[in-house]
Formats: sequence, structure tokens, C-alpha cells
Amino acid sequence: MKRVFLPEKKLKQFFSKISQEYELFACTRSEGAGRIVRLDDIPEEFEFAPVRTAESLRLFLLKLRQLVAKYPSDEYKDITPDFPRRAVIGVKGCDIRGIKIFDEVFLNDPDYVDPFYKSARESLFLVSIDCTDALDTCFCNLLGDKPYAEEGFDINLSPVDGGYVAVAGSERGSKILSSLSLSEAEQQAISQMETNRETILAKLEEINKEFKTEKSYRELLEASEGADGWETAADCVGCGACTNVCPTCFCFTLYDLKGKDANYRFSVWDSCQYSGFARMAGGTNPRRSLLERFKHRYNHKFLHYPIRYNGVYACVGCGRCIVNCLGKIDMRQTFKNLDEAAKTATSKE
Amino acid sequence: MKNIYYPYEAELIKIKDETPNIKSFFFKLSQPLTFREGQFMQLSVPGIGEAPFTPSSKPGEVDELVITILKTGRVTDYLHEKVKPGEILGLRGPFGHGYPTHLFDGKTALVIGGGVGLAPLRACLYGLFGERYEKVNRISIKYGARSPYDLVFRDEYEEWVKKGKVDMSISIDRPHPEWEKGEFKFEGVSQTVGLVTVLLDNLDVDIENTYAVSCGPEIMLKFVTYKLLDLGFKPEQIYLSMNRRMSCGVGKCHRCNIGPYYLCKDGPDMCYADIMNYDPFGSI
Ligand SMILES: Cc1cc2nc3c(=O)[nH]c(=O)nc-3n(C[C@H](O)[C@H](O)[C@H](O)COP(=O)(O)OP(=O)(O)OC[C@H]3O[C@@H](n4cnc5c(N)ncnc54)[C@H](O)[C@@H]3O)c2cc1C
Ligand code: SF4
Ligand code: SF4
Ligand code: FES
Repeated sequence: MKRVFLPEKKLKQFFSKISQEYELFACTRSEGAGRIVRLDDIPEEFEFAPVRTAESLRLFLLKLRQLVAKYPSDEYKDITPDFPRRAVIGVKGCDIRGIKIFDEVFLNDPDYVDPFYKSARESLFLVSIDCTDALDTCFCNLLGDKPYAEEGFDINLSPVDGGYVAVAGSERGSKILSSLSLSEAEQQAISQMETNRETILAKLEEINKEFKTEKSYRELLEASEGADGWETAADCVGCGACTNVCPTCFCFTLYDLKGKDANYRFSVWDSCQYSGFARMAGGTNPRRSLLERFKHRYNHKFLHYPIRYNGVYACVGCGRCIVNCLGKIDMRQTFKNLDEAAKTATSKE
Repeated sequence: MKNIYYPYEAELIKIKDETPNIKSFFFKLSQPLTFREGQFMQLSVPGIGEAPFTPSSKPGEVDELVITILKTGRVTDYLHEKVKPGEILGLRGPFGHGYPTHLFDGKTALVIGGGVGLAPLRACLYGLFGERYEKVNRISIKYGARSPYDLVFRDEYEEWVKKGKVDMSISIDRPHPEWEKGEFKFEGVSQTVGLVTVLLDNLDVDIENTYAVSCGPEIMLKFVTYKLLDLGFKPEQIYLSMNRRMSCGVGKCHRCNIGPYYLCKDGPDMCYADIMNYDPFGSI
């Protein structure tokens, strides 16, 4: 991969190049987590968020409410949905990895591709940027991930003195970079990039050392059916905040409405934490209790999804669910408790 | 690109009353389709909603389809009460895998149904009565319903058992005067009273060479499964038409899972051995 140097003073040019083809969004510094803001004008300077943003990219890929069919209507039988071309600049590695979770379901399924997701996905240009800090809720390292993206981006930026080390991850990213006539990154810049990456990783190790588990999350769940260790569930109120802020949650419902001229079918975000989510006709419900739904969320992310999709977790450790939980539940604590329970169980044997 | 959420037009040509709360809906399709027994369709009542149903008619390449539906909620109430022949409804599918009929070659097919559960199983039977019939050793049908009036497809049982390799026994949940009086007599069919599991009490099949398929309410599937295991069936020999709430039908909305399986893609008929460790009967 060719590493080039993007000097700070060329950032404006970088933004404006991208803005020729895409509507611009960027991740800016804000108190706590960063924020994604729309850039109507190209800024002279820009301060990127050092950590992930409050918003995930789900909104850019799966609309809260998407019209998926107007019927009967030939226009909707075969469809190439038209999505606005957008670029998000400054996305963190966790959110880039989150998109892969969606891709497996909506795009890479050999049987059924979701045309709406496909369009939204192809219209989205992604510039990732290495983390330069960590929140105390970040735990990508516990999942074996890194505080930077290694793939899945169009361009990745690594902040260093005076600018960024930039690499392209796609052809369209490469085009943008080559149009800026940048010189190759010097060894010094690359070492600085590597040092920063190590520093942040060390910080994450420090933040999460009390949450380290002996067994992997998947192993803990494989062994946990009906077992102890689920104490944190008692604080869950079933609000669904955890799933709504998550960059890897994708549940939805199809909903039909009668219009004046036609019938409409929408796909709307849903949450497995709601009691009606799995309720069947006649009232039977495979996950009637809050505890079952709570466990289901963990099981889906760390057991069922990896079984179905190449061993990958459907969680990227962004910590948004921790920050936003009404019950103040920390997923890391749940796993720590499960780990303790597993140890107690083994020592009893 | 094909829109996986678009419901194709299907004309409702006939509605037949099966029981006081079950009707069969006959459709003429706007384009022919090929479905396997046990595969299901998403049926849309335009502007009202969509629900999954397994056709009860003969599988294969078809331009007509029968779906047999129990009245039980928003979409099915609408179908039973408001929809009239001549109306255009919507269909998506077929989805899922369907019944593992190839396993029945050289074996006994033990077909266990409860209530409207005989509807999907009828497609399975029609499939077995076709080309496979030569290869199957025996088809043993066990069917239970609440009362004699709740038995679906009553006009077909005698025809089935006349085929030779087919035997059938029926039970109704509670004693019923007309059942007692013999007003519901099906020639060649053994009839009794009790929950459907009573039909498995003195099972005369060669268990080792039998595969069971069952469709019915979840609570029935649970007791049937436990009974079969008690009798010595291995989990690998039991296939269940599982029910979960569905929406997309295409493995996207994550609503219909049992553990890592999506019923809409991997089922709805699941081998018990695959799902037994994932709490298949949940907190029903
Ligand atoms: C694979 C499979 C096969 C089945 N086969 C049969 C069969 O052959 N015969 C049979 O009788 N039953 C069958 N069932 C059960 C049947 O699907 C349910 O009885 C049916 O879903 C009940 O729907 P309802 O709307 O009447 O009930 P409700 O309890 O009202 O359930 C709500 C259902 O309607 C949908 N819905 C409600 N409002 C809307 C809206 N505005 N837009 C879109 N969707 C909406 C929901 O998605 C949900 O599926 C099968 C189920 C499965 C999973
Ligand atoms: S489960 Fe929590 S930590 Fe994991 S990706 Fe979702 S919001 Fe982030
Ligand atoms: S955010 Fe917290 S309280 Fe709300 S459903 Fe999720 S775990 Fe439960
Ligand atoms: S019905 Fe949507 S995943 Fe199965």
C-alpha cells in the first residue's frame, strides 16, 4: 500500500476534491464523543474528533424509515434506488468494521441482496482516521480489534505532525489522493503514526484491564445457557437504546400502509429488546421475559452471528451501548461476571 | 435489481371454508413459480400487512396455489372477513428449504399434524404421493384437532388411506357427542379421543427406519418431540415445522431465528438435532 503525506494546508483541497462528487460530512471534536456534522462550506481548517462519534453510520446506510415498495407498480419490481452520494470523513476503525457486519447480511448474501442497502452502501465514501484518544467506554481491544482501520475505507488518514499519512483502500479513494499530487510519506511520519497507534492501544489496555476475561466472549456464551453471571440484566428496562445507537444492529420490520393511489411498504428500524419483536400470532413469544431478550442481544452478537458469518463478532467495541444505557449496564461487566461465574463453576467440579 | 420486498400480484379465485375458523384461499398467479413442499410464501393483503404461510397444495411448478389459513390476528382476520374472490393480493416467495422428503426413500414417513398444521403437511403428502411414492415404504399420518369440526381436509382422508401405503389415525382433544355417535366416520381411519400425543402411544412403526415430520402449535411440537425421544427416536430423525415471527422472509430482519438459524432461510422445517441446544421451545 502506498503511503502518501497529506499536509494540513492541503486539507481544504482534499475536502473540496471529495465534495465535487459527494455531499460532505465530517467527524468533529465535541465534548465526550465526537459528532458527525454536515459541511455545507469547505472549512479553512478542521479539527477531527479524536475518538468515535456519538452517531453511528447506521443512519447513512439503513434509513429509520425506508419506502421499499409501492404496489402494484412496475417501478418497484426491479429497482435501482437513488441515494444521495455522501462522504463521511474522520470515521473511526470501529465504525468501519461495523459496516462489514451489515455487508454480510444485506450485500454478500448469495441468495438475496437488499437493493436499498446496496445503493446506500455504494453511494457512501468513507475516510477513516486513526483514534488519537480513547473513551473509558471504548473496548475494541478486548475483541482483538485495533483503534484504527486496516481495511474497509476509501482513504485512511493517520494524524502526524503537520498533516496526515494517507493510504487509499479503494480505486475511488486512490483517484482522489493521486489528484492532489502528494509526495510519499517520510519514514519519520510513518514512525510517528505507528507510535500513536501503539500509544492508543496501550491506553485501551489500561482502560480495560479490569474487564479482561479468561475465556473469550463466545466461549462464555456457549457455556452460559441458564448459568449464573447475568446479574446486570436486572438493571435493564428494555428501552432499546443499546440497539438504536449500535453501529452493528440491523433489525427491522416491514410495515404496510394504504395510500390514496397505491399501497406502501416501509422498512422501519426495530429492536430485539422490545417485547413485541418476536411475539407471534396468538400471543406466543419465544422471548417473553426481559432477561431472555437481554441474553438474546448478547447471544446474537457474540455467538449466533459469528456462527453464521465466518466467526466475526457483531460488536465492534465502540461502547455506545454502555454510554446510552438507561440501566447503566456495561457490557464488559456482564462478561466479567460471566467469566467469574464460569471460574466458580469449574472450581466446584 | 430485483426488489426482494415487492409483493407480486396474485388473484384470489376462490375461498373454501374448511372449519369454523380455517379457510382455504385459492390463487391464480401472475407468473408461474416452482415451490418445494414446506417452502413458504409471504402473503400480502395490500396496505394491511403481510404474513407467512406454507401452501397446502401440490408442490412443483404451478400457476395456482392454495393457502389454508387459521383466523388469528390482524392480517388473517382481514383475509377471513373482508377479502373476496376476484381481489388481487400479493405474494413473495417461495422461501426456505421445506421438508427433507428425500430422507423418506426406503423409510417410513411419520407425519404428525395438529390443527391447521395439516395444511403445510398436505403439500408434503401430495409430494410423497407423486414420484416419490414408489420409493417410500410407508406413510403413517397422525392428526389431532380440537373437535370434529376443527379437522381440516375431511373429504380427503379416505382417499389417502385407500392408496395402500398410507395409514391414518385421528384424535380430537375432548369427547364430543357427534364423534361418539359416529357421525364423523372415516373409513379405514382409526379414530380416538385425546391430545395428539395419544396417537403415538402404541406406535407400530419400525422406529429405526422412520423419519418424523411434525407441524402444529409450538406447544404440541414440544410434547410430540419429547414423546418421540421417549420412544427411542434420535434427534436426527425428527423434523419440526417451527414457527417464529417473520417479516422479511429473506434472512435480513433478524426476527425468525432459533440460535444461529433463520427459519426463513434454513427452515421453516428444522431437524431437532440442529436446534435442540438453542432452546427451541423458549418460554411458550
Ligand atoms: C413459515 C410459516 C408458515 C406458516 N404457515 C401457516 C399456514 O399454512 N396456515 C396458517 O394458518 N398459519 C401459518 N403460519 C402462521 C401465520 O403466519 C400466522 O398465523 C400469521 O402471521 C398471523 O398473522 P396475523 O396478522 O393474523 O396475526 P397478528 O397476531 O396480528 O400478527 C401480526 C403479523 O402481521 C404482520 N403485520 C401486522 N400489521 C402489519 C402491517 N401494517 N404491515 C405489515 N405487516 C403487518 C406482522 O408482521 C406479523 O407477521 C405460518 C407461520 C410461519 C412462520
Ligand atoms: S454492542 Fe455496544 S459496543 Fe458493541 S458495537 Fe454495539 S453499541 Fe458498540
Ligand atoms: S439500553 Fe440498557 S436498559 Fe435499555 S434495553 Fe439496552 S441494556 Fe436494557
Ligand atoms: S423473517 Fe427476516 S430474518 Fe427471517
